[in-house]
Amino acid sequence: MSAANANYGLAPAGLEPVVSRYFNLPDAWKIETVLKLGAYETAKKALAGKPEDVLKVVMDSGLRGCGGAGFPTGKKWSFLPKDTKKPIYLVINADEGEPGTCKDRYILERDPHSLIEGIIMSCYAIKSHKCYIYIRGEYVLPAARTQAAVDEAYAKGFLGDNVFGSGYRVDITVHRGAGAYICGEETALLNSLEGKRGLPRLKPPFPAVVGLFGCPTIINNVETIASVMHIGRMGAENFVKWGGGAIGPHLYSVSGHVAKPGVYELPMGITLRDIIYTHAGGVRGGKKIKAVIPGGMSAKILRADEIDVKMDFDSLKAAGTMLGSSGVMVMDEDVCMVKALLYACRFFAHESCGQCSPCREGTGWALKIIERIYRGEGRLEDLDTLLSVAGGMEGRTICVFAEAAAWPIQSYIAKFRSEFEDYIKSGKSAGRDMAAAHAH
Amino acid sequence: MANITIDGKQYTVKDGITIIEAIDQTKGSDVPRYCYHPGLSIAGNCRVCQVEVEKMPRTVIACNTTVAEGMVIHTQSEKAKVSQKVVLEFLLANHPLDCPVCDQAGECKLQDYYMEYGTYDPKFNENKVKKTKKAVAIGPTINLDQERCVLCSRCVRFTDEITKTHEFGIFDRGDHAKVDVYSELNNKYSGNVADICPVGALTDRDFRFKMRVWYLAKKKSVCPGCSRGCNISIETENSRPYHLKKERVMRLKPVENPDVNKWWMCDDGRYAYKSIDAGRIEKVQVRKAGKLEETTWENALAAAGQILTEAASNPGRWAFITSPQHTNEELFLQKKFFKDALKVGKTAYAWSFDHGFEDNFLIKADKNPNTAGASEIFGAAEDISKVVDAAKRGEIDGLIIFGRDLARYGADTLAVLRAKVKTILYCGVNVNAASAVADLVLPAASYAELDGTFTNFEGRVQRIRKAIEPMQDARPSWKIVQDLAAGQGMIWKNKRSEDVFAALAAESAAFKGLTYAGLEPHGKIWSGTTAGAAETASAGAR
Amino acid sequence: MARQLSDLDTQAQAILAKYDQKGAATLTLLHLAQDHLGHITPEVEQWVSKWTEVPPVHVREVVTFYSMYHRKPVGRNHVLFCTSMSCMLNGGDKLLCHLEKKLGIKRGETTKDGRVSIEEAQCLCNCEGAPMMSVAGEYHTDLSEKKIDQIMDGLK
Repeated sequence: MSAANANYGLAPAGLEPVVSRYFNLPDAWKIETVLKLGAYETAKKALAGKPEDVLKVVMDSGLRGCGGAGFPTGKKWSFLPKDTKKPIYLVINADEGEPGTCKDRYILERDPHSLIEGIIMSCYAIKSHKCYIYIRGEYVLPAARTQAAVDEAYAKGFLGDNVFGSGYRVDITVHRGAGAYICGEETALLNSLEGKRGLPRLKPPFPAVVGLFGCPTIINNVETIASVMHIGRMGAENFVKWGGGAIGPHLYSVSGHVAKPGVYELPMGITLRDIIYTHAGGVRGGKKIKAVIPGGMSAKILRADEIDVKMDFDSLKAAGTMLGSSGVMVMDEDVCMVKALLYACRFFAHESCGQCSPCREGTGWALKIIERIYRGEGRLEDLDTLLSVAGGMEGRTICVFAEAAAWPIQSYIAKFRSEFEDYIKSGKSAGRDMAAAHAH
Repeated sequence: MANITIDGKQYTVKDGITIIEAIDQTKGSDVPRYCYHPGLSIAGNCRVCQVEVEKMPRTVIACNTTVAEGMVIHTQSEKAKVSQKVVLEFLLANHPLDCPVCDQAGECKLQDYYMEYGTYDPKFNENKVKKTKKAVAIGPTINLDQERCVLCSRCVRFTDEITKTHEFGIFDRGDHAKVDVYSELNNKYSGNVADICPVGALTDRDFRFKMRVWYLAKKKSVCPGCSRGCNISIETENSRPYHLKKERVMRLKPVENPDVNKWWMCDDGRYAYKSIDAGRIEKVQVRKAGKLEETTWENALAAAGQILTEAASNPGRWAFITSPQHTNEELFLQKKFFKDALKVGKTAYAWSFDHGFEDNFLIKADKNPNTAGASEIFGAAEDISKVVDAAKRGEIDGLIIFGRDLARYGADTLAVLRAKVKTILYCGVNVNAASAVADLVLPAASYAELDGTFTNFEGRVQRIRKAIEPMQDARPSWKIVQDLAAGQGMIWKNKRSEDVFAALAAESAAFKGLTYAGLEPHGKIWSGTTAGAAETASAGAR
Repeated sequence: MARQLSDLDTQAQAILAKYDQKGAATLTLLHLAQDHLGHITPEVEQWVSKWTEVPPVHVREVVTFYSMYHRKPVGRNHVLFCTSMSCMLNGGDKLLCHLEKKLGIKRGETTKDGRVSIEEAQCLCNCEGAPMMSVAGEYHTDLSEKKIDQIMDGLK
């Protein structure tokens, strides 16, 4: 049972929580609890109407994917072939793995029925009868809760051959991964779901045309599909206007050196400064911010003077980084950026699938360089070599894992170059956090 | 059709092909590649076939980008060259500096592409990744070196898609990923993985440390192992004649023929080259006082002349045995002399021992390269066993044997035949029990030592070519027959095997219209009959 | 707990029925076998291969690709200690050293009595509770030396 975190799911005062509304509610993962509160009513209404109506409301909302890429959901659904003899699949990407991101875990663990309801509606919209929920292997409790919720839904006739007596069939299989960050990449996820190594596929063809088992497939993030239900429930306009944000409510995971780490539901477009100081309690011990990662560890880092940026897709892109998975990690003034880059490079070297040469060799190479620098055996030219390795990987691989691995290297060195140079020259961090360096 | 431009030249190509196929078909340019192989599915993982396509923001891989009308492709623009170089540097980062001890040197795509597309100053200055299996035999034919491997996955795709034996896999991830076998590599086509491995990760155990490939002379020919007629390259040592003494042929490799064997050959055929150099009848021999003694061709032909004149007076009691291991040219002159001219009583070329394993890929049950040719040239003929039985019954005075080891009928067969048959004349390539009892032994050239043609199971006539000089006294058997005929007053003026082929084509409806030039590059189906295959039917490997 | 693979055949059949193609059951069957028998042996690979009709080499590829499958025995309580960014920022690396001292083993090792094993894990996505670890599948957050000691002492 994960430790109760009093900070989760708080929406700003005066706003009704949306996606996070039941995060604090005990036993919200049990169907009896949420049925009393109106769960599954939205899906019931949707299945009494036309699939096109669900499609329209998703399109109208401008909902963008919450997994990291931010691709407009309605547009993704429109890529499905209009007339196909093959079954259409919906796959839920619950392989949450981006460091700094923990929001999907809350939905799976505390409110899985909102996801299931969103699945029913989405399947109806895209003419799919089968959904696989791919949950990362380490999420043992969330998977157990989700499976239990699916079982309850079947028992009530909300899943199966005759959902709500509508005659429409929706089946869900809950599937566990086995420990590979790359399976969060949608085509790697498909390969993993098919029982193979999680290697991303060459694109084209795209999953909407050739996906799971060679059939048209839509892959969406947990929060995205849960949001589909909420959009249906509130109406597109109310959802979008919630809190005056860019596209309504959004879950931000906040961690690092903040006083109140947690998952926060905030209007998309709130500033990073607001997230940190207004909601997450500011920096612990009253320290100053040194740097913030805005969107999961792949996102390029921001300096303390850059935190007035709005936390939406377009504003962060304009600021040279990305919203990604909305995983905010705050680093205070004592953080050693060399060590931070070491940990980033360790992650990417460990998680590279190894399929294509620039990423396979580049992530391992970058790690060796930063390890050597961290040990005190760095050379000044190492920084340019690191940048060359990072730049060499970009744009030359099968998937964007290479970019994700390159961006921390590029941004930490670009924005903190003098710290790296000082470290190399002196062979150590100047009095900053120097936990035991573990040899690899 | 799509009109595209590659490096400034305009081409019209089929719709739906990839840029790399367009490049390879139009032959005006080239692009480096590891994982791409025309016989295997697209992997797109080596990332080295980078090309610039105008209006696309980044370089793309040629193997997975489809051509489009009006596409303008640059393989050697600055942008393309930078991408190719960058990827090459990644591929070489952890590659061990094994060139001095690696068999792949000289035909290695890392070496070749570095020289052509790389030539950068390497920046990698760390310890390279070490892997478990270095120079380990993974089966009877192949060695694996995981550190040299660039993880192109060609071997995995080969054992999944071509042999469907599923031996290879890629284990672990990241830069610790390694190619390995589940238990061992032991299928009938295992040798092909050394061909397709672009680097020295999978190497041929038989060829290991034998010869540097730049010392090899290569000649295209056809494997004589069965009636499929896989196209091969006979690779022999050149420039260093003292090196391996009597061994001249170093290895056989398959040659691409889309209509016969595509890119592949079986292990039986690949490793059967040793009989070209070993166990040869090297000298002309004549039996004197019960023992075989070396002699000259002049003497031997004179002795043969006497024997054959005697045979001509009572040919009914003579028999001629040959084999479909011979070329069409050899069989044609054999038939013209022994059957038509001398009119020997019995002629046979087939026996049941040539029938063996067959699969639904390349291997045919008929272990001869030219049964179709033999049957066309000789027409109806008895089984060899009938001739042997007749000889055992004392009905044969003289036996002329071209390349058949009659000991296949039993260890004592030759002793019995020797007792019952007055004269035995043997002409062949390798020493065997039949050559050991003969009165006259004439050394013949192996298939690697002469020009000629074979006709495969579907009636495809293909060229074989002389790769090396006949060993010692050996000569092409068609020349031997021509000399024997001359000794009987029949002067045939064929100078080259091509002349013999022309004569054959003039006489035979099946070979009508065929010429050596016309057989290039992939052979030609004749007008004769075979057990059911026509040019338009699904001929070829699969 | 199953003693041998054949005891799991009924469950294997039920698992296969949830997927549209047999091969898709590979990861789930491997989890099933590992949960009962402790780790993945060649025998397990053959058993999964038989049920999924996936060649054994490709089953082994899966076993070696994913972090959660063990090819050698691990402790009865396997610890995944998170070593990613937020946990590091919150002193997780020091606490990992403490755990090693507490158990008398290094990361990658198992205690002599087979009770606990330690593995360095990449982000387990409980960053808001950093530093954290997973013990036998259960997440423990907001770790301190004291809390680690408590948890370890309570393991069987």
